Amino acid sequence: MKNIIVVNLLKSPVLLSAEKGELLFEAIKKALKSKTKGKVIIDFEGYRFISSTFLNNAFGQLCIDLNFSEKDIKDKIEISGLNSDDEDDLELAISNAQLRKRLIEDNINVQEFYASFMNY
Amino acid sequence: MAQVIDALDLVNNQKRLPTEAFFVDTNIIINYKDPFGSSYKDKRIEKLNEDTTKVLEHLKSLYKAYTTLSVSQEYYKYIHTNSYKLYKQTKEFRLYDFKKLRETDISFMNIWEKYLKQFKTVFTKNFKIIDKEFNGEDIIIEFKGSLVDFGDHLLFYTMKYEGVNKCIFSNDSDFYSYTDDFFLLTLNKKIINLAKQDKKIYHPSKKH
Repeated sequence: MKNIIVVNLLKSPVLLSAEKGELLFEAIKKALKSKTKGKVIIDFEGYRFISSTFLNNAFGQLCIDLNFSEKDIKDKIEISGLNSDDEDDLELAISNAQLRKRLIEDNINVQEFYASFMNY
Repeated sequence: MAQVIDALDLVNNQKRLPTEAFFVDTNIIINYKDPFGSSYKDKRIEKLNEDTTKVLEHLKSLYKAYTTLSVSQEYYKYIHTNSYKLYKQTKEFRLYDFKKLRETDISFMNIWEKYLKQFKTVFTKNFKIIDKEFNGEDIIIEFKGSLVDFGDHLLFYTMKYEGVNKCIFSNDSDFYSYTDDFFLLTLNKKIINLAKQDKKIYHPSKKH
């Protein structure tokens, strides 16, 4: 198994930005490619808080760029160190990414779709 | 009248909020939780989500964060209509079809449960709902629909009658039109710039 200790990787316990999410995504991608058996463990121990933007870029991208299904993520990745509410948010980020992926596959202009429906 | 506080400035420079608690509006909660992942690869919304999360997490650690049932109702409506639209890839919300999906479509039921779970977590663990007994007639009579929405009015009414912590965190410029004295904490640059012009910017004093 391969461990990614998020706070060490990103040198910060504050997980807010898209850029940090992107860095974690790249680290996960690299870990999955390396020839090790078993799951990649993503350890969030020591984090302070986390944003939707971070989760979308770190995990949602696995669905959109690497075409992972929710099952693929469960089979290949193990999450530890997140509080239960943030774990729920992570699950929701993955589900939302699946819905976004469907829009892309159905040739719907994604930015326009979200811009017109999601404004409040 | 509103005295405007630049929320990012407050947090970045570790200044004090002038109240012990603040009320949170629906748009802030939507920007905070981003329930549909609409921030993904949209730099403007990503920045808004990032800044809102930064401000709220900082403020929640130091002050009490309040909201109202009216805000929770607005947030529920937002996830109610948009979960359907996103799932069905449609611009039109159809209530009957939503109910049918909720009862018969396993895939929709799974994701709807996740939205509901987040909704409940937001309004039970993140913000304390302030519930006051009001005379409904008075609320309706005082409502100035040409200036604000009814939801804004309910939030403002509750804040006003809570009495002590007259501070609302919102990016809705409608609140700027209220003539009562209160603090409007915001990330909205247009409101902040307008307040600077009108000399209605509040400068929080001491650092923590």
